[in-house]
Amino acid sequence: MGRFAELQDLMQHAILAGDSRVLETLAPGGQEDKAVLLDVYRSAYVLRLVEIIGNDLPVLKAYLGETNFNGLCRTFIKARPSTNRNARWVSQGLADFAAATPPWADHPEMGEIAWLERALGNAFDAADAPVLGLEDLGAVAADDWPSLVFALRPSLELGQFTTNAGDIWIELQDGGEDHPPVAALDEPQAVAVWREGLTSKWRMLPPEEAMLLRAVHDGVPFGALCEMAAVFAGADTAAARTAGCLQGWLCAGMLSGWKTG
Amino acid sequence: MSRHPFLGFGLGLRSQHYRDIFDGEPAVDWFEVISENYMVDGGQPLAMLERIRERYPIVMHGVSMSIASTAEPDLEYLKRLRGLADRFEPAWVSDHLCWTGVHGVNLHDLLPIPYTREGLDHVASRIHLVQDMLGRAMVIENVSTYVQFAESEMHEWEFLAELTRRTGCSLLFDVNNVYVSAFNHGYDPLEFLNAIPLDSVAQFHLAGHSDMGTYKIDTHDHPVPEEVWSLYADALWQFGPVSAMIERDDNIPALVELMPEVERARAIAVDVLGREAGTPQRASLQVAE
Repeated sequence: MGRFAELQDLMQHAILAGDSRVLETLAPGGQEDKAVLLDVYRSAYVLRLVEIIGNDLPVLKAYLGETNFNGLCRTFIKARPSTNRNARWVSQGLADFAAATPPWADHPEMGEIAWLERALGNAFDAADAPVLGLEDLGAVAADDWPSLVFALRPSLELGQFTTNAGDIWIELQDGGEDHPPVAALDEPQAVAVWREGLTSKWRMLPPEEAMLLRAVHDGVPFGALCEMAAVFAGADTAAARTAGCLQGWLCAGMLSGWKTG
Repeated sequence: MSRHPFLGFGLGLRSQHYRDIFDGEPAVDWFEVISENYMVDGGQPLAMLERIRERYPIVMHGVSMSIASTAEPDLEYLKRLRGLADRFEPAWVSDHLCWTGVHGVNLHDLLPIPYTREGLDHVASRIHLVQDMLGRAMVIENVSTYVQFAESEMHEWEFLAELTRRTGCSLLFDVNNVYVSAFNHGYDPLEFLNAIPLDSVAQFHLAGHSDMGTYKIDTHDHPVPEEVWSLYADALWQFGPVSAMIERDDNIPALVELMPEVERARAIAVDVLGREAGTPQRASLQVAE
């Protein structure tokens, strides 16, 4: 390793780990002690990343309060230094981190709020794709319907809530200060996040719809979706229920195309 | 005299101002966009940039090329940057003389380097690589620094001047950064200014900083202070008409509050260089087809 690389190594250690060996390589400061000037970089590193995460996850910040939010961010930054050049991705792992790390892991709504905010951010600048509309399916021959395979828009992301994190998000997202008390859901419930036009959206999915949408994600053709619905909640209305879900996805702009399997 | 197109007087594009820009068509000659904000797959950022580009010339300004880093070059980053530049046709692409991390970590800061011959060789070779990958000459910005390495063998301005000679790159002369670093390290900013090759400066940045008493921090969260306006006038004397812009990254006010700073940059150029220096070159104002 050349000296140029060694100095970068020392400087990075100083910022990430508080190692002060780099001080020996620094020239005296103009009007200030060089240790104080080195601290400018150390504190800026943490403050900048906390600010970036706060911009990405404003509802989690409002829910936790500034002090607790900063505590979570600082722990996260220390445990998982950023590895992506684009600051846009700094908050990407925070939901999983909060869900797996005490004491935040004891409050699953925190990880779920973080997941929702990050998924909305992902949808915001996900790849563009055509929007499949009801009218696009008008020409499909009846015999082809069972083998239709649908493509989801690239922005669509599926997650799962075990708490009323969604209700808390709704109350806090516009700068509100009050939110419902945290409560566990009777059963975990799926949630879909996607982009309609230029706007990120989300909604909770009933269990049957969640099952069918996951199957669409996995490339299951329409006929097999109807069979899954028949097993899930009765055969008599399975095709109609599946068609109802399909209509909802089309109207919401969740699908981008189809092909016959 | 700068060898680059004179775009006039611009502003850093910030998403908070999209609506005002589209509704009001402000008297901004051009916009500088943060490259990384648009190195995404789709959605609103690229849709907004398309609309901006239909109306205004742009330049692309990156914050994470990490051109001085000793880590392996990130070819995926450069490919994506090239794709963005090819799509939006900026007048030029710039980034900073700094590094942002090694060993796979990114510190999201513009970190200082020692100004050594070894460093010069390293950075020059990286600039050659980047210029080859991007298919265009780079514009390199001087950063604000708070520490200096005792092992430096030359001044920052000598390092930058030699880089332009070795690589053909140009300079983004950040007036505020020169002022901040000069204060922090106790040198005369005019010494910096006088050492820069006259035709190498493509662009000026004008910004504010935070005064901590014994040192200054480049926060970009204040209006441009008088000392920086004064150094800007000196730079105009030195370099002639150069595309200049107001850079505000924090405490971002409404667009209407930033416009007087854009107009002041224009007025100072007219005062120093004459009426023609207030109007961009016509050829520079072409917008995307």
